[in-house]
Amino acid sequence: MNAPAAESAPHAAGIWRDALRRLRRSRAALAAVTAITLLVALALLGPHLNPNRYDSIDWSCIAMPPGLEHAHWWGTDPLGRDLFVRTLLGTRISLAVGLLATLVSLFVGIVYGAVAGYAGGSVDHLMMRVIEILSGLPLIFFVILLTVVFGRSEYLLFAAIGAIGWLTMARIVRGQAMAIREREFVEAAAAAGASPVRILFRHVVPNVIGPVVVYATLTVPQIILFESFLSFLGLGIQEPQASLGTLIASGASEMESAPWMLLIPSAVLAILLISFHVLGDALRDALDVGDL
Amino acid sequence: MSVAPVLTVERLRVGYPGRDGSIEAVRDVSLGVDAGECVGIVGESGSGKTQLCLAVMGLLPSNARIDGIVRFAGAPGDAVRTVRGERIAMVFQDPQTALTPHLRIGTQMTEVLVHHRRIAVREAREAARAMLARVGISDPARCLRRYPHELSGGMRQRVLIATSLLCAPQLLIADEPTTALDVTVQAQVLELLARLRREQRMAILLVSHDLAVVAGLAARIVVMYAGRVVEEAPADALFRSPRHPYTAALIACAPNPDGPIPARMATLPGRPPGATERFAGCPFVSRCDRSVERCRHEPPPMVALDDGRRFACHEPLPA
Amino acid sequence: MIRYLLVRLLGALPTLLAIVTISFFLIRFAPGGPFDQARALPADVVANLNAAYGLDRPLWQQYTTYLRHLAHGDFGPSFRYKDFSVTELIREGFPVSATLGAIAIAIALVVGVGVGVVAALHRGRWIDHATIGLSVVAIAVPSFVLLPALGLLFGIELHWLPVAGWDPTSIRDYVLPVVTLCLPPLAYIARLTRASMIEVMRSAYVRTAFAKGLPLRTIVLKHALRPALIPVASYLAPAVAMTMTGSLVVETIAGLPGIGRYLVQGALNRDYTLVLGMVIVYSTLLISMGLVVDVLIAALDPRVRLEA
Repeated sequence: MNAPAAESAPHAAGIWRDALRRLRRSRAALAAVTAITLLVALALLGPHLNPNRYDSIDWSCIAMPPGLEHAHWWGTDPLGRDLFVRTLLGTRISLAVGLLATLVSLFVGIVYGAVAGYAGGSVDHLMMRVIEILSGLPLIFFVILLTVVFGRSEYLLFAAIGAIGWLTMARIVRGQAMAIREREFVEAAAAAGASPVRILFRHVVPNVIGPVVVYATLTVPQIILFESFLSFLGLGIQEPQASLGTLIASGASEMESAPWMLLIPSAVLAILLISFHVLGDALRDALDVGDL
Repeated sequence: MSVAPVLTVERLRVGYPGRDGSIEAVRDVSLGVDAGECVGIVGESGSGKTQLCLAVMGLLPSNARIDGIVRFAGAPGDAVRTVRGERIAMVFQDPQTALTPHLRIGTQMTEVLVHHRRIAVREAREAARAMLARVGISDPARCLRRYPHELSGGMRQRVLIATSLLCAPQLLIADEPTTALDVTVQAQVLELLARLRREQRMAILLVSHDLAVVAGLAARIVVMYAGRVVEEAPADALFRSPRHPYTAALIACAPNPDGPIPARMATLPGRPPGATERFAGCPFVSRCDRSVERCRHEPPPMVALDDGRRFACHEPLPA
Repeated sequence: MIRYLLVRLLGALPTLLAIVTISFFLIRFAPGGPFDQARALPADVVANLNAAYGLDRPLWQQYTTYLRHLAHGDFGPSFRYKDFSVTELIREGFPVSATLGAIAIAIALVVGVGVGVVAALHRGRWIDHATIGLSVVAIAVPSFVLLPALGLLFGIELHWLPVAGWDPTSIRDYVLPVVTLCLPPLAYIARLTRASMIEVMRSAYVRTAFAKGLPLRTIVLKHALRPALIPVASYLAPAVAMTMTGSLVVETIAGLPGIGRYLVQGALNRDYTLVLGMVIVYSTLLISMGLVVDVLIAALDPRVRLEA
């Protein structure tokens, strides 16, 4: 961005206003925001609109196809559980996992990257070397091992997933921090006697927000995908709880006789993921961040 | 002029659609280059020189809006596109980035001959070697095997000049050919251009922001300002008695190579109007100490004199 | 060059050792053991089994024993697949997974680069917009949705292709798994190529090439493509990782006898040696890909020197 490097921090509000204007002009971004908002609202409210519970078994309606003439709007699974409620609860869990793990990875990545970039020199060198080694590892296999070790604790699963996602974030923040460190307003703050920690959080962190927002938007779908992937493999969310991944896994085994069990959760997951990706792309263009 | 012009540009306009209204890079430029002649174009950066050259070569990006006529006498139907790189060639400003990094010099030179002349690579290589020798490269055979990053900036510019001359073009457009080079190398490259012009009998359109660079080589000089031609004259006449105040200011700013070094370099205060700005009168009015009221509202018409001079000014300096 | 490769490979050994060590202790800290089954075995049988496999000895001793065997190329016996060594399981399954992955990556590279170049040259036109739109879909739709969906369409509805099952002689069995595996990296590669191609086509040397009067075809293929491929080459290592991840799912769904299923099954069954064997195979592959990427980039850009 060509914001003039003034004595004070660059005027951020103007950049955001421009970005918002450009974002509003993008029809794809609007559609994505609408889809995400609708899915979030459905995930939060939907289960209360339907009389069925996610784990109640309706023996009279085993593997019932979708339809509005009965209480199971999106049909039922082979155990007679309501798929409308289960899919939306699964969406809720997927969203929660995505947001939580993204926050974890953001926190770790920003702190790590900002420290490395701002410290520079040998500290930076060492910290980047660690990232280099970690990113050469098949981290997904470690997560698979971690899920086995920590058993069935969902919160630890969130943390584990978030803990593998911070590498790229740290790289981005480091690059920005290094660039900003050289700018006048940071030098001025240092000359005025502000402590490095204060400079880091007052000046460096706020200025990396653009790329961070873009990357976070693109991380949420990755983690949702990852969670459903683990659940699909039987390593994530456990019965009778459901995530989109477990629903798709059980749907895939019934696809010849009851295709809706596969198609409904798949469609929800696909819409969710595509919307986040489209929004992330649009944000990247609007904030003029460049390729991450 | 008795010779037929090799290049004619008439009422050329180059614009781009922009977010805040359209950008006008070249505004109504006409000029001609005769066969074998060297014409200089001088102007500050942003005055539209490079856009003019790219428009002549047909190298503008696809979103450019081009209006006006470009006629090249050496091309069938006067279309430059068909003879680009063969009868009309161009050398760019920055030799650091103008060569393809992953191809050897030999490859980048021979492909021109192979494409335009349909000759064998061996033959083309021999021609390339000879041309490198002519531009003053001491070990041409070795140079052909080098990658661009293995050469110095001056050598790269020589390579680029040599490449552009392989097909013996009738017109060479040199856009700031010396700006990115060291001062000593600058002089060598200019000397080389002068010698090649004599030997090859080609016309040169030499573009620079630096009047001193153009002065030694060009017989005629065109001064551009804010996308327009403000004055044109034979080189000696232009230096002797500039008529447009901007030309006079440029001459005052350029250090005289023969005179004493001035204690303080004269500079021109202010900025030219931006490419998105609209102006009703003379573009130079805000920086001109001779401006009068009508300069603000009335665009000065181009006045052509008998001695091959033309200028656009309401209050010209006395002849 | 050979010296460089040797130095790099030796440098990877400590990394590999660290991975093995961490994985070894991680899986051991997981509750349960390889002989816990739905039908509980008598305690003395389990004790005998543990003794037979050396699981009754101190953990560090088991670790050193494992490393010693590993140094001789022995991954140990599988705990679950009785009568099979991990080496045998890998030897049988690896060619299937490798073929699948290699075909998928090759298709992703060729098609992805092609699509990316075409999109870049038609920037802002419908073909460009279509590429961007489809690539988002391909990146966002997970393999475990795509493969069943493709199976539903082409297998069950249209009866063109088999849904599951494995017949090594039939190419048709490869089609859906390969398509599923190759789509995400293909989409990434197309986007990368498009972005870098647009940038390269704006560069000064491409302008020089145009000024030389060369035809567009020559300019794109000879001058622009190679530099535009550098980001694609860097992406190859993540692409392989992505394909590995995908293969875990794809092989399971399609019922292919590759090694993809072993990692998850091994972890769930506490088949210690099998899990470690898989981690080693995949890590080695990824680390070697990093090396391949560096060599490729040096080949693409003469300014890059390989320095160990």
